[in-house]
Amino acid sequence: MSYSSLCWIKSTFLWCDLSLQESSLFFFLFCFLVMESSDSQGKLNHMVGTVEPNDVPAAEGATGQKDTSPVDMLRIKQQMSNQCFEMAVQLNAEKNKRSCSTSEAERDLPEYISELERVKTLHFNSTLTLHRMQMWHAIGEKLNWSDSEADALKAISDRCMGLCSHIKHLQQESKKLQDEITEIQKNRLEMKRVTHEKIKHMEEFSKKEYPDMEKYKAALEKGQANLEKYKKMAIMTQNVLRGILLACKVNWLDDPKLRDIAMTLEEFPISDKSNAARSPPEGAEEASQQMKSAAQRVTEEEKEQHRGRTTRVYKVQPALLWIITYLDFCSSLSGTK
Amino acid sequence: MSLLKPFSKLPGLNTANILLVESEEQFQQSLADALVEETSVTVNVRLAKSLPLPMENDESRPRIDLVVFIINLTSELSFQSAEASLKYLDPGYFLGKVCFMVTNARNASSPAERLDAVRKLASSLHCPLLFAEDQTPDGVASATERLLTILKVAAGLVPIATALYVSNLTRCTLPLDIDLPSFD
Repeated sequence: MSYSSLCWIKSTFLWCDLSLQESSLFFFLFCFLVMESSDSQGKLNHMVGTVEPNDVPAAEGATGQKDTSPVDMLRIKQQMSNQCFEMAVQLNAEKNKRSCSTSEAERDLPEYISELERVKTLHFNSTLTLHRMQMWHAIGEKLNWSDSEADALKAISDRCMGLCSHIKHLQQESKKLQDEITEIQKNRLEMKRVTHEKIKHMEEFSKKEYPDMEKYKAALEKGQANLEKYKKMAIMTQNVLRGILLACKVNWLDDPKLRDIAMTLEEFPISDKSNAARSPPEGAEEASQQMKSAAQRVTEEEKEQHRGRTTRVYKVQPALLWIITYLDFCSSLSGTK
Repeated sequence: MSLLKPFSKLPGLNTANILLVESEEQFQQSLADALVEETSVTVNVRLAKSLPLPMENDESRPRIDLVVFIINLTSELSFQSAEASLKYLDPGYFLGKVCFMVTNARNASSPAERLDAVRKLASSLHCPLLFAEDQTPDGVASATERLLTILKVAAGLVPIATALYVSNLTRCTLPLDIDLPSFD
């Protein structure tokens, strides 16, 4: 009501500045607004009478109610007030013309816009709050009357309360779970970070050791070579001993010490070339090569060592060898018995 | 005077009037059909090839709330005709009641300079620039939706926003690699 009266006053002031058409338009619109907000029919007729020549079709629209629902009416009223406002803005723009450059205007524009936005949001929020208050007041009043509708309202509000408390409870639970999840994620991240650090350290160390590693590797190889050498020597001596035992047809079964020694002679991996060929497949090419060469060397050395004695060296598998000697010995024993 | 004026006629109750200006007159049709299907408001669509509009219709024409210039980027004539028509619009329209709609922007045969020229035009006039795809019904539907949102504001049907206020939010800016504001 106050808004329309204000606009009314404004329009009377601006009457002189406008063209006749536009001002009559204004007149009509403000009449419409006035009609809506206050029910003074006499005033309306008077107004309609004065602006008749221009608005014949529109006036009919104004006095005749086309739409039925109040919501539509309110909506149309909003539309009209919006359009009035736009036109008032146009008029104001005409009135307040000042010359300034475009760049100046561009600079000032965002400030004005943000100010406008701020005020609009404030207004909107306040309207919302007001509506909420009004609604609650109305509901409160209704509940006080205690009739059937109030009972229905009470039931609904109780249900709402129940649902709200349920919602709160669920929200608390979900918040707790979310916190737990966040906690676990934090821990996991921490673990990851620590792992990364450790890996980085390891890489650093493995890289750093490189100059020393050469020396270590050389030392290791030397040691391994030594080991191989001694191993071969051991094997060679074992072979020699075995050869001696066989050739001299020593009775190793009865003497416990000799028997132990003879039994342990079985445990070395190679004796000759054929055995090297049958060596286990996981041995590398090098290993087999080594064994072959070692076997060759051993047999050669055996031959050398035994050249002095007139013994024969058996070039068969150790197991077979032992079986043969045992059988031989048994036969000799039985022969003697 | 052949200028189209924004406030020289009475606005209709619960109606919105839109004028589609296109020199080729093909996208207009499908857009118009889609626009008219809006149920909450009565949308009157008027079609034109270019401005100025013929004087004979001046009396029966309702107040135009939104003028949309449809420019096909593959033809130079379309752009030039739109530019020429701008002269016949009252400056009051450029405070939020004019919109530019561009079709075939993705077409390989449309030169990039034309799009830049359209952008410059739209940003100098502080008008929104919409891109539309006119070949598929989906494209027409989405273009209609966006036009309707702007139209509703221009016709005063949205309680809080006026066309002038919204034009500050939707105006085309010359991109220093920024996207155009899309009005949703």
